[in-house]
Amino acid sequence: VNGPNDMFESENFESKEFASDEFESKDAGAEAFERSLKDALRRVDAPPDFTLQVLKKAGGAAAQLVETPTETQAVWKLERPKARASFAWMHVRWWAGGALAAVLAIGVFAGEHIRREREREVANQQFEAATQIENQALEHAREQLREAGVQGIE
Amino acid sequence: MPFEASEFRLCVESHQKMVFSLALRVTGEYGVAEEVAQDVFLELYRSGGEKLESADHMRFWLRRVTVHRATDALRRRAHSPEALGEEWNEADSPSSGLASAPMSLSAEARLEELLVSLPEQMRVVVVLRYQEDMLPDEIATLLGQPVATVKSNLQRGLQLLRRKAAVVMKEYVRERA
Repeated sequence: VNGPNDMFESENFESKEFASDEFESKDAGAEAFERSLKDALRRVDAPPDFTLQVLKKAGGAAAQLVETPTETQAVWKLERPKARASFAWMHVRWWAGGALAAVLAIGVFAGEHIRREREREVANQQFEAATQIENQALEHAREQLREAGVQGIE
Repeated sequence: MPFEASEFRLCVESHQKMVFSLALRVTGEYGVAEEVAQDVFLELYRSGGEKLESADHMRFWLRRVTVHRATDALRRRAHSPEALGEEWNEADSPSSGLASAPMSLSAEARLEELLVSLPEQMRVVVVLRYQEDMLPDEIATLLGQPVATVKSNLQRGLQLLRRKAAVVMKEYVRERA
């Protein structure tokens, strides 16, 4: 029960000056308090439709983007040295990603086509084998009937 | 328009969390923060972003404009909590205003609420220091203030916040006992 209170109270903290070099030297209570403060002040998400609202308000070409699907969902972080260069790089990556997706889609389609062709071929072979066996069985039966003197079986 | 629409959207998506959080902690109101954050991005779009040479530069610009717009919004509000500022003392009832929040709130949530009761300058510095993890000299550059002023505001803000938190936490402990 005393835990949460400890970090908020300290005689030392009250008298501590943040003057120049002493900025980082604090008592344990102050450090605990600052950690709590940091946790309390974590960034929060903007409202879900924030981007759409901004684009609508921006008008013109930006507003038109509202109707198009989102290219990215916070995957492309602008953390590179040159923001403008990173925009260009993002476009390259976007196209490269699109091309890769297209190749994968073609590959999947071709694979599926080949698999179906093979299945069809196997089914044909099985059908031909079954027909052959059936013909042989029929011929054998006829042979036996002929030997038994039964007429009119052709 | 030098700022392409698709670039702008990427920028909004990348920085909305930072801008909105900053606006929220400075204004203390969700709706106002949303409005401020939108205005900041619209200002960026209209400016074309031509002078922004790097991601760091853009972040710096967004932070600075957000702080300015958020403090403008604060000043426009009639019921500014400024009065609670440094005159606040432990004798003040924690059962009034922000401290009257439900006892089920976590310590972090209580701290966040108490932050809103800090005077504007202290609050801004505390938010930049602890939300954005900026050093005092970076904050000084951003706000265009001397480093000593920033440190002073930070120190006084922390002291005040800690005193308030101590009172609220005592109340919390008493309620639970």
